[in-house]
Amino acid sequence: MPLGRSTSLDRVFEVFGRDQAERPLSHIGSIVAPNQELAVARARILYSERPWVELCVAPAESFMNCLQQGRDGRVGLA
Amino acid sequence: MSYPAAVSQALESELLCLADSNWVLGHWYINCILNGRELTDFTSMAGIAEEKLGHARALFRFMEEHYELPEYQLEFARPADQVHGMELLDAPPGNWADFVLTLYLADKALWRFADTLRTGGFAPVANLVTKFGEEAYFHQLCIDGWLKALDEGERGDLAAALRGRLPPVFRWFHSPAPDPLLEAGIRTEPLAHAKDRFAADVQDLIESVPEGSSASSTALAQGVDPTDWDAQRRRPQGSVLPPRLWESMTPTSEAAKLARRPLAVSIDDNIDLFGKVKKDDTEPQF
Repeated sequence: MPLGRSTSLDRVFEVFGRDQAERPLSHIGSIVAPNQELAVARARILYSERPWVELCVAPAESFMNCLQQGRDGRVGLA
Repeated sequence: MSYPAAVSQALESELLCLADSNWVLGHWYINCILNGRELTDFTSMAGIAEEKLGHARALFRFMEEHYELPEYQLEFARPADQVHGMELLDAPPGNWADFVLTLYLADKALWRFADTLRTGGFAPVANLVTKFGEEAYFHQLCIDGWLKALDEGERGDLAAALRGRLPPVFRWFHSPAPDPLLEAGIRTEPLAHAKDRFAADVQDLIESVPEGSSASSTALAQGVDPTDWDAQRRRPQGSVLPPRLWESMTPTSEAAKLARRPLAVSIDDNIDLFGKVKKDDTEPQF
């Protein structure tokens, strides 16, 4: 199997973090992973630049856009 | 809290088994980083390696304090034949599936071993081990994810790898009775129970692999020859870490030595750690 493979199993997970208890949970980025276990582990390691009080991931396809049609499964303005 | 000498000595050996195995495991990740399948694997492996080495060093520092050992000698001045690393990690990975499987077995075994100390009555070790467990949970999650993502061909490699990797990991739990740590309350259950828990942890994986169950039964049936077993290091008598693995852990080249963070003390004195040389605080430090 070649290095750097990207398989059809890969899914996008959105990552959310809160660095202080009184601050809101914010979208901090995305992770591509073939399963939920790797998404959680990778998010914890990749987004370790701050001592988060909360860090969580959710599959991108679970997000439904409330302002525009056709943008379900996408978070952020890109 | 002070324990009788036999208990203290047994604890030292067991802590070295835990620390050294984490130390070797950390270097497995470092040596295999470029075999990651995706960019995020490289980051994950570097992150896990950092934490594994952190666990080893936390135990080394604790032992230096507790046993009044000279600083840094455990990490930088022991010969390979005094290292208590798991025999499971001696043979290098043959392929990606073997690599992931070995990490899986080593991590689960280390946790079951450590868990017997987590619930024990020696608070400094119990607290350290609790913290290790919080981090090891995510290491295991990552390995579970890698296992789940193996393709058909790699699952075939997994079956072959399982036959070679199971016997040493089951052997690692072998403990001659009586166990001084159990009697002193530092360990709350015998290692035989920890081995059973480990076997239950890995059962699903074993059963998912063709002929996994028979490989497991064969491995479990293989006992340990007490005349050829170093119970303190949990390895066959006289066995040492493979030279290339050892060189990657304690490089001897001048360039690698220069690249190391300078230490506050000399490590060239070849002090006999196990003769319990006391630190001399009156000596000038530079």
